[in-house]
Amino acid sequence: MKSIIIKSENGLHARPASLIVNTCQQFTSEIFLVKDGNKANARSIMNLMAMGIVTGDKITIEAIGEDAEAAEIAIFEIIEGAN
Amino acid sequence: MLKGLFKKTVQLSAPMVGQIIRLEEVPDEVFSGKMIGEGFAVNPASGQVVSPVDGEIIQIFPTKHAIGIKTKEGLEILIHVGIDTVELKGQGFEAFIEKGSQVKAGDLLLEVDKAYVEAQGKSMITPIVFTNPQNYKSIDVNYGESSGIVCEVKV
Repeated sequence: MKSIIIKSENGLHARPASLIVNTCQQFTSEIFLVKDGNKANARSIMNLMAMGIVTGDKITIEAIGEDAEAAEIAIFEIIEGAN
Repeated sequence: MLKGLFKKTVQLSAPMVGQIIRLEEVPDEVFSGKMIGEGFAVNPASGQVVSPVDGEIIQIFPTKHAIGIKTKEGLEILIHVGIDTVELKGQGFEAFIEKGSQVKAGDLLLEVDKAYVEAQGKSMITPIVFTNPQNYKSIDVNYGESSGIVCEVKV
């Protein structure tokens, strides 16, 4: 589990969300983003974008599976890169 | 009756009146590069957004600029009104449905203040994208002036 605060002015919108979805395809783990207890499947662009993640939100990345740790790091880096 | 059961095509009418254009022409690489999925776009003449299909509203974004609809065939359709309109934070957008609403093709979803959006320097070009690529095979779009069925999706 990894947490990050969103600093990007437009939150987690279409661009970073599509990067996350595409990156998830490299992994077999189940990957989720969690905000205020709401969990979104990181493989679904619709679910990610609809979380309405905005500046200042704290997001937790949760992956379950064999490559969970690598997946969490990869997704963390995307969000950090967009921040 | 059986024919209906085995129907493998989802037909979409235009969600907005205007010109149907290629996704590649959308001035945002997320859509033009098909990073989210296949689809088409409307360069709208007005700000009224109606449902292109019968289905369920699976998402309405907090900023009301985008809506997700799922058809009974399992096709997920994202209607993203305008480009970079997330930055307007809901200003100029009024929603007439909520998450979980059942809609019919032609039902009013959103009323968008087109003049306001454009005055903020945002394009009103609206991509319509199929976000679950594993659930459809191909799409066929009627480009040009919107009328009748503008897109058929093989599922």
